[in-house]
Amino acid sequence: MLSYYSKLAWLSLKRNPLLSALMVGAIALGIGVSMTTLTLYYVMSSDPMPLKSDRVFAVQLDSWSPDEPYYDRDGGAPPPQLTYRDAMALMESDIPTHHATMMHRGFAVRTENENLRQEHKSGRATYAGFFPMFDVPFLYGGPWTKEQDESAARVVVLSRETNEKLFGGADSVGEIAYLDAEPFRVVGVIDSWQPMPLFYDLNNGAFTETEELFVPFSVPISKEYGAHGSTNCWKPEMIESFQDFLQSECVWVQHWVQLDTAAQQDAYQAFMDGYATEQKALGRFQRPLDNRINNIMEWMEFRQVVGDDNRLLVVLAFMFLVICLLNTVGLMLAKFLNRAPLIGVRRALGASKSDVALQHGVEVFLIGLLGGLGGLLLSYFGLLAVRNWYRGYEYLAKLNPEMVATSIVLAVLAAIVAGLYPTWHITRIQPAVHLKTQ
Amino acid sequence: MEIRPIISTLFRNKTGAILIALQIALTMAVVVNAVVVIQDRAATMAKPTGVDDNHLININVASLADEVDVRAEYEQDLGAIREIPGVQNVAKIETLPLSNSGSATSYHISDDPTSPSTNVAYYRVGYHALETLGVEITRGRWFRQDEVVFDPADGSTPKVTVIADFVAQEMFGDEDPVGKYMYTSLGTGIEIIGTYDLMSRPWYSWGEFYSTVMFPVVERNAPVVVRVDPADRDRMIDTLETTLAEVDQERLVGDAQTLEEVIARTYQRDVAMNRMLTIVMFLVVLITGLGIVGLASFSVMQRRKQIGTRRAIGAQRFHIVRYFLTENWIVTTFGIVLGLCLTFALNALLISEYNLPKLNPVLLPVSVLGLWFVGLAATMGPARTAAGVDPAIATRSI
Amino acid sequence: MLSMDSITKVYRAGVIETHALRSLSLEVAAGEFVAVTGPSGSGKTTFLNIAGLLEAPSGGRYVLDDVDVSTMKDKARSQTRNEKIGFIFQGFNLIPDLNIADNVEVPLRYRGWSRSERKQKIDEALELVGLSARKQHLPSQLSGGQQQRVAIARALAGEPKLLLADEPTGNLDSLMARQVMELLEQINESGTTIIMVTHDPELARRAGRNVHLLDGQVSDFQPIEPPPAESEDHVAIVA
Repeated sequence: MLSYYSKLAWLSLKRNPLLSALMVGAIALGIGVSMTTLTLYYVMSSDPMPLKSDRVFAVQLDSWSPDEPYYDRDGGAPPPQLTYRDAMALMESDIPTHHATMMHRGFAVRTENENLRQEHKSGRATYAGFFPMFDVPFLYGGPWTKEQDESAARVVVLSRETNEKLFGGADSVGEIAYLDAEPFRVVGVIDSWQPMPLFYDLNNGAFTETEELFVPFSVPISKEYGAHGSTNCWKPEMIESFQDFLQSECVWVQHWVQLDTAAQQDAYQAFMDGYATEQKALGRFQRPLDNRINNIMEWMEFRQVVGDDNRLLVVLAFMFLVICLLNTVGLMLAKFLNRAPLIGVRRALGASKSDVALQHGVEVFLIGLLGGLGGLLLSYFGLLAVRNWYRGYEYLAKLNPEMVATSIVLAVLAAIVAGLYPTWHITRIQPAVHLKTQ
Repeated sequence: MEIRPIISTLFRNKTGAILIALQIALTMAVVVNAVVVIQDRAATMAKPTGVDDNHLININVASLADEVDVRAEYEQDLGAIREIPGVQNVAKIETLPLSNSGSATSYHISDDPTSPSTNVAYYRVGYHALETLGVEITRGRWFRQDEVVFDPADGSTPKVTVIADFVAQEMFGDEDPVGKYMYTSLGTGIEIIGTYDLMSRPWYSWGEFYSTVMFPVVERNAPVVVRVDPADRDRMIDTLETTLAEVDQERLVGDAQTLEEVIARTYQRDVAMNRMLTIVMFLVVLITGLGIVGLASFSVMQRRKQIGTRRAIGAQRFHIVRYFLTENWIVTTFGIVLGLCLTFALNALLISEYNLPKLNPVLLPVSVLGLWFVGLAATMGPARTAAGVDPAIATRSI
Repeated sequence: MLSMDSITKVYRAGVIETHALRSLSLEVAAGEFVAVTGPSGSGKTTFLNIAGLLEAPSGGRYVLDDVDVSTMKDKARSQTRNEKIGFIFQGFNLIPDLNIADNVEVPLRYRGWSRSERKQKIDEALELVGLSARKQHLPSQLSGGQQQRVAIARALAGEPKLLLADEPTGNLDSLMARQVMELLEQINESGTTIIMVTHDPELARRAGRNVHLLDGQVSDFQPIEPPPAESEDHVAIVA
């Protein structure tokens, strides 16, 4: 019976190709536009580290000005970054499973190979704990050691692409790379690694690529390099040297901790508060105690990784989908009613209400399916356009299997919602009414 | 006109009419609010930077040596660039308007840190910046060559500044600011020696867009900014980059970009947003228009007998066209009334949730006319089909 | 009133030509009541369509009310239909979404009369057919006979010189058919020319003159037809 109805549905679509195209097209456009915006939204708000995103935390200490909070919203919130001296104090804790202070800093890189031009590479200066904390996969070698963290050892971990560029993709552990003309020994090469959004440092955008190389945090400090990021200061203080800067109230480094158990989390909160109270005695931390650990999803919410623009687009896109559905409801209703006399004949020939409903239900389903496929195609092109228009959205604007499935399901659901009223309407046709001449 | 009978007919065939009216209403809400966003973004992007955007090329240089004689490097770099034919001027400037990277701080009108202060973005620039950027001095004077400080120690405060007219107005009102001082929060005074007309901040997201000052300071690794004729600009980029690379083989030279490219990157989200909204707007109108065409066609198909009868008893073709156009106009107008409410409701929601500006009332009559036009244009085809119905259909049974 | 001279009508469907009317000539004087009869396919409907200006003839000359209408353009034909001709259809052809008064008003609207003029005419016409009390009803709320009387009121409201009736009683039972027929006779007596197409010989006999169509031409031979077997009357009698 179902195949008979499928055939009827197909014939019915073919009988009125323009109107069928209009119905399918309306659903496809609605789905295409909503899925394009929804995919962006979905990737922006997706969990970059699903396995442990609830155990890895961004640390906030409220070392800000006594006169005003860093963030006005929600009754005030502490700054998103830490001062150097506070981060160093937190690094002394042995509560976290892993922890790392970090900053973004680029280097001019070359090797002993004279044929390679010196190039600027983006880099991250951090602690060895960074790699196990964020589950960074290694291709060769591994992280540097704690001792190397302390001694500002000239060691470097390369990204897969950088290793390919500098050493042709070979196991380069033990090789020398020159960073800003100074020799660094390669200790590890990481495999492709791209958390999306790139949650751990949101200063340079949440949808950028991971860094091309990693060095111990102590390296740029010893070279008196600041960060390539954002530095915010509130206190009028004389800063005449790099040491002054390190001791200042300026916030400019990120600090992350892994706390696996509730006990660890409580202990760490107590540790932060204890530290802040201690500092109060020294005249710092004049604001009410407000130190926070935010797991990855909380952090992305707090830093508003999903922008207003994207939320606005989703709202408008769904209004657009509603318009497309209203459109489809109207067309289906008109189409179904136009064949009311025929349905009257079928009813007179013994078709039950549910037969009529099924016949039209199959047609509605078919329209939804075609619309969904069309919508998928349109969202593919939509995302292609978005990738072209936004630099840095390359990783973001891609169809993934979940979204493909969502589009189809959404389209069929949409068509069914749209077809519900027309189908119900047509099943109410009395067999007799349309048999008489008008 | 036959408005009353049309309305009573519509009342007996409500569903189609309601669907069209709802579509019109939602379309209006989406389109008007999208236009509000687009206009807002476009207005932001249309604000001039105050410098000659289309003349400027920015080239980054990064020296790797431990110690660099910044003044010597400055002379060398500028000398080399000036040799190139087509170069109008060149300077080292820390950052450029809308480059999305820079610094801002607050300055007070007296050495008392509780006195009123103004937040300004500051540019550290070399001597030739004024002419390179194309900014005009309005009062006082520009820096002298000997006032320019090369590679100052961290945190050392400049002695003199030239401030934007906007900042002068903010700090001192209508008084002449030349000769006055502005103060850091630690009470160090900086003498204001002149004012310039207009230069925007390196970013547009926060603070007053034109609240800027300039300091005569050349930092280590300050980018080289070259002024050229816009017609020569694109083909000169490579030459400029190579020339700078040859001055010192040991340093990194790159990222040569026109200021227009830099600005385009800063605004890319807004440009993309406006494009997406424009496309959505266009599609919404298209879909609604096609929906009206579809429903009107069905309606004509269903009323063929009735149309034939009307023709038989004396309706001319234009009567039939007029009937369908009037019918659509009534439905559209009903949708528009509903749409006005929806538009304001959505606008209120967007104002509270997304900091959208209030809608400009001029948009409303424009959108009403537009929707009337869309409705009538969409109905025209089916109405003409209806007018073509053969009156002899009236004498056929069935 | 009406003069047809050698009217022909040819329908073309691809390469096949169908001659619906072959050289039909007919004169109808003002005030006549003419019944046009003939078997199925004899060209009755085509004749009616041409007489009512719903279709243009393929050849021949047609003068209506002293005006040659055979070559008129669509707009003029519409106006002539509206002003000079009233139609009564077998299927009534009332507009289902309009109430009775609005239905009667339809032709008057195309004439551009004022609201008060229209209202007066509607009242008169409905009075004549005895349906003044049903003004606000919808067609579906009336019986077949009543619907046909509304259609007659609609045809008369514009005070046509010529009333064309196409099987006016074809969809009605005998009692209602008789009422409608009486109404037509009454209208004819007040001076309106009526041409009625029918295949019912009994009805035809009540007209002043009978014209018999056969194979697209006026035939001199007047056969006595038996009552059609499919007639509802007949079924009723047998039952």
